[in-house]
Amino acid sequence: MSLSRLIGSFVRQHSGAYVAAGAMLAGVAVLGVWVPRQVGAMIDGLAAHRLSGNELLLHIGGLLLIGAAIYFLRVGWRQTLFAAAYQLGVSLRTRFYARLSLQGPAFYQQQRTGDLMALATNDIDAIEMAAGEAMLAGFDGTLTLVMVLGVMLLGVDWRLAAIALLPFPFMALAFWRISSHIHSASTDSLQRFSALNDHVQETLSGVRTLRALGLEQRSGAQFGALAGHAANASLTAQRWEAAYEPAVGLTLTSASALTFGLGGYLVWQHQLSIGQLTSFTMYLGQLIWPMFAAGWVLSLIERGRAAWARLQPMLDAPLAIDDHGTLTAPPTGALTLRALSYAYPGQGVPALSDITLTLPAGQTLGLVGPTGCGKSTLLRMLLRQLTPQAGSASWSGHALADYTLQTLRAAISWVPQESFLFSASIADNIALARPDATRAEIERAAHLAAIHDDILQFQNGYETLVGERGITLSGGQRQRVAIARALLADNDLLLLDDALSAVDTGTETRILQHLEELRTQRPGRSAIIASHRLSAVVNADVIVVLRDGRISETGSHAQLLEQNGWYASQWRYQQLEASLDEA
Amino acid sequence: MKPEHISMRRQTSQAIALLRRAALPDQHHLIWAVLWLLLAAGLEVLGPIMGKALIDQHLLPRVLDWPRMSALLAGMLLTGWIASGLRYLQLLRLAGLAMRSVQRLRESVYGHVLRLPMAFFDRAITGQLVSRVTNDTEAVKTLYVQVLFVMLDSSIVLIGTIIAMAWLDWHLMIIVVALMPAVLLIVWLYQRWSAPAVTRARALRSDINGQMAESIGGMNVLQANNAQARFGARFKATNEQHYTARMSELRANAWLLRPALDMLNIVLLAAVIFSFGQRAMTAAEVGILYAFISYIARVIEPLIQITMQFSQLQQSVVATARVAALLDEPESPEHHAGRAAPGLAPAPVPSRRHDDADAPAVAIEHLNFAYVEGQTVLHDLSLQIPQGAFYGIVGHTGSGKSTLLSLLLRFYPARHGSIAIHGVALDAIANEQFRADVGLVPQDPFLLAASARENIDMGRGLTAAQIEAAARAAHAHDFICALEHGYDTQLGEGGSRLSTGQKQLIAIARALAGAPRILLLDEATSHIDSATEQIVQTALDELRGRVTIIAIAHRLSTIRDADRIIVLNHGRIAEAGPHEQLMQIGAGLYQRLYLLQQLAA
Repeated sequence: MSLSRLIGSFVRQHSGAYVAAGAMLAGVAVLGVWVPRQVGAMIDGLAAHRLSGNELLLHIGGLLLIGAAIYFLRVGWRQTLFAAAYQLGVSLRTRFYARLSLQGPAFYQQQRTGDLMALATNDIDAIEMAAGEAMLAGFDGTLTLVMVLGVMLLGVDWRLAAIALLPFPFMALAFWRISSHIHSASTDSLQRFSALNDHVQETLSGVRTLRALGLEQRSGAQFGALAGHAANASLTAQRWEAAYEPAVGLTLTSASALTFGLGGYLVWQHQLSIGQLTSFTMYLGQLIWPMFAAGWVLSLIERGRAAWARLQPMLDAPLAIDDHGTLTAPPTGALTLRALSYAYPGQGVPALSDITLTLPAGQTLGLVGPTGCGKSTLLRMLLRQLTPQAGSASWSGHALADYTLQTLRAAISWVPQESFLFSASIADNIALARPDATRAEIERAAHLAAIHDDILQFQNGYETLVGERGITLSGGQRQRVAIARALLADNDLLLLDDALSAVDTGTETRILQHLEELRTQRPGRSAIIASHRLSAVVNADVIVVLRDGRISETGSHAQLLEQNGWYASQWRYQQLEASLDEA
Repeated sequence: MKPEHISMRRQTSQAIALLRRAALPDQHHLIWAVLWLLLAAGLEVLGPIMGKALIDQHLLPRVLDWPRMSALLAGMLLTGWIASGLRYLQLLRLAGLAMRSVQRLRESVYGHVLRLPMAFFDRAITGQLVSRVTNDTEAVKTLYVQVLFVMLDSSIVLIGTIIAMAWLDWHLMIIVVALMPAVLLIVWLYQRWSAPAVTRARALRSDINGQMAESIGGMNVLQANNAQARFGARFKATNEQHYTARMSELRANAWLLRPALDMLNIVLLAAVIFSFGQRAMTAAEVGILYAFISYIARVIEPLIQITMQFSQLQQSVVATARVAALLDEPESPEHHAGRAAPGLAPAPVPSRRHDDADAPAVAIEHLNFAYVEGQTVLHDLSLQIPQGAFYGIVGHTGSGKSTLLSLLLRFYPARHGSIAIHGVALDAIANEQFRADVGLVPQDPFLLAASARENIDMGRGLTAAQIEAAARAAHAHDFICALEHGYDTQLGEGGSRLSTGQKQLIAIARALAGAPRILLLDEATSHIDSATEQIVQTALDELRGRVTIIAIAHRLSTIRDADRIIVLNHGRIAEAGPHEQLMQIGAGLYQRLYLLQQLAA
């Protein structure tokens, strides 16, 4: 769909508003043309001493009335037209958001957050402008041009009009050239600016190294050069923008002088009155706007088209996760993986291969292995964030894909490696999956996650804001809030993805004990604990060791120690490491 | 405190002070611009006066005087052209001024940010900081170019036109001026009506951006919690509130700005014509009416232009105030160390004469340190490192060795206890002196996309001999010579053409090239192969006695031969001594660490 089709369909949807705005604009144009005529007639009347007393008052009353009418029409069309265009912005933004909320990680890996943000703001603004300002200026400009030209040619004197309009094609040509220069200059300037941004981003993220090596001056000089390039590029663009001024000024002055030259001759010859000459000068002034509008509309439409060309692929991108499942009954039985394999796009080595395991309901599975062995990939497979390329995953005897996403997600509580807190109170963050939870429930979950005491330390307790505009929690605190969030959701399957890595061992033990107690209270709840630290999985019913995406060892803690493989050696290492800490 | 909470008035004065400071070197341009614009406005008002003369003195009384009439016409043409040209040139002048001011502002903001204390970066959000340095200063540019030029030009045109009107007929001028308070009233009403809506719309807009960024970042968490639809609904609601706020802003705009001023235009026309009709009319005065009608448009247009700049002005002021707030952040003290207070006597040339030749290279006395109040990372640490010694500092994760290094590098000030280098307190050493004295080899070598030579030189202007000597000392000379262009070989982005070990050797050469008295190694061997590690060990061994070496090491083999090894544990010195001695301590920390590494290998 092209931008014009998009705007076209939007205009049809809001045809009432657009027709009303169009009618009002037409009214303004007609009345606007009438004003200089009226003024000209009044001047002639005054000069000839024909106009005085009540008649003059009548004329002036008429002029004021027209002025008031124009005022109300202008107020009217502005509100109607822009209201419609703003609506377009709202609807595009909501649509974009809705689409994003259906996309999976495969989509987000390909997109940069900055780009998506820019689409939601700058690009949608540009489309909004094309539907609002550009439509307005295009319609209004054309109408005014036709009306004014018509009146000048037919209503006043066609010879005078022909002469006075001589310089205007030059102005149009100048506008056209200026706008194309501005286009390339502003593209260049945007790129330079972006280079400057990159430099600052890069150096500020690495400010420690920069300072330690004493590179401040060098970096400052680089910054100065980049800022200089940006300034020059921007100055070039400004220089061309400034050129509109003389283009208008020279044209208008020339037209006025030509008008006066020929007009004076016609007045001399009694073919034109002074009043007509005055109104003619006023018309010349009215022609500036349509000329400006032409250039402006073109650039707005260009920008809108570029923006739409960027936005549309995002709106139409195929969904990374399909939601064709029909089962809505919550799964309760065993979770079974059969010969599951997965490779990330563009990577030859599979992240998971030939994974077969079963987790009976009510049991805890420990998932361990060196960094990059596929633990997170496996958990994300269960969440259907990733789709296996071979093998099958089923729960209660049905493939995961047979459940609706809603059902599946409602059955799983997931604590990711990197916990994410939203800009809201801590209580709201914990209650993410259950916005209806009571404060008592939230506090209980926080207690189980060993974060309750920390929260009470904050100034506003559970109402303390976190995230971008709130306080910053430590990594361990963030992880525990995320665990509290999962425990409050209280779903059948709990997935912990190295979720205790930033928590000290004492707290880790406490949380694991709480989990154990929960499990005895509510049999049927299963858990998969993926961890780098083996102490987190010691009590699991089964421990699976993953290496390079394959299952290398399976068994209970005691069995694995006996096998004397990777698990056993890693266990000894970590024990020794822990003993260092106790010293 | 966030800049948004500071009152607008304070923001404005802050912004103006900043802008004036940045534009100061270009002040004469501003004066010239005002003078030329005055001239342009003067020329411009001449046009209608000449038109009036043509009508009143020639057309109506039918006086045919070709030379004078042609002169008047030519005058109209020329004054208009010259005025346009002048205005164009001044616009260019101001754009140049704006660019140079923004450049100055940016350079000072960036330089300032680089000198902020490290603790500032610990809590700063990089994205926001980047935005201060680039986006906000960009908004300042708009302030100079658009707002300044339009305001200046429009005011001058307005005043010029009113003066010309008075000269033509002060009676009619009074009528025009009498209606001016109406403009003020309109603008005042607009401000009152729209300001809350504008503020609300802006706040909601940043809320929309925030929600969007957050949702994109945490989408998988939202989905896993089935909260995406709820957040979507919230996003939609915020968008609709934004729409409502924009609509009320639009209403204020529609009722009060352009349409109202256009209406005023017609009222002025009517008033002037009416007043004109009241007096005994002589034909000679019709020209005045012509001129006045031409002028009225020139009174209204600048007013419209000025009012249209208000919202832009407000945004720019907010942005400028944010920049000003950043510039007010105190710089870290080391950048002023060893210098006289600004404005007093000239800074003394940093020299080593204050050094005590016999003082230890590093003396740490009763050092306590905490990043966050109450969570002490280093406890009462005391340590003397003699000149020319090779000391290794080891410890488990969280033992405090990185913190100790950060303090030695002056990233954080040591508030309790003291650190001295060669007998001089750390914070009393001038920055240049410190850089010359202390060389650092970081954990991850930081290489520029430049030649090997430039990477060792780092802009210090060293001679080829010095660079080569440093490379030899770091055992990097041989492999550099083996590169296709030797020292002039381009190493690629981040030194991509070299192995990690080679990059580290270059980093060592770089540190040695400055002939430092102290060489700090920050886990410099963590990521390199054992062959390169052996080269590094040999290099360090050769430096022994000439340079004080302090190696913070994860890999114990690197510091095996150190004169003394300091074992840190929970911010305290647990053990200290040479390798063999430490290995003798039964169940000692060092011994266990060493065992651990053997196990992992």
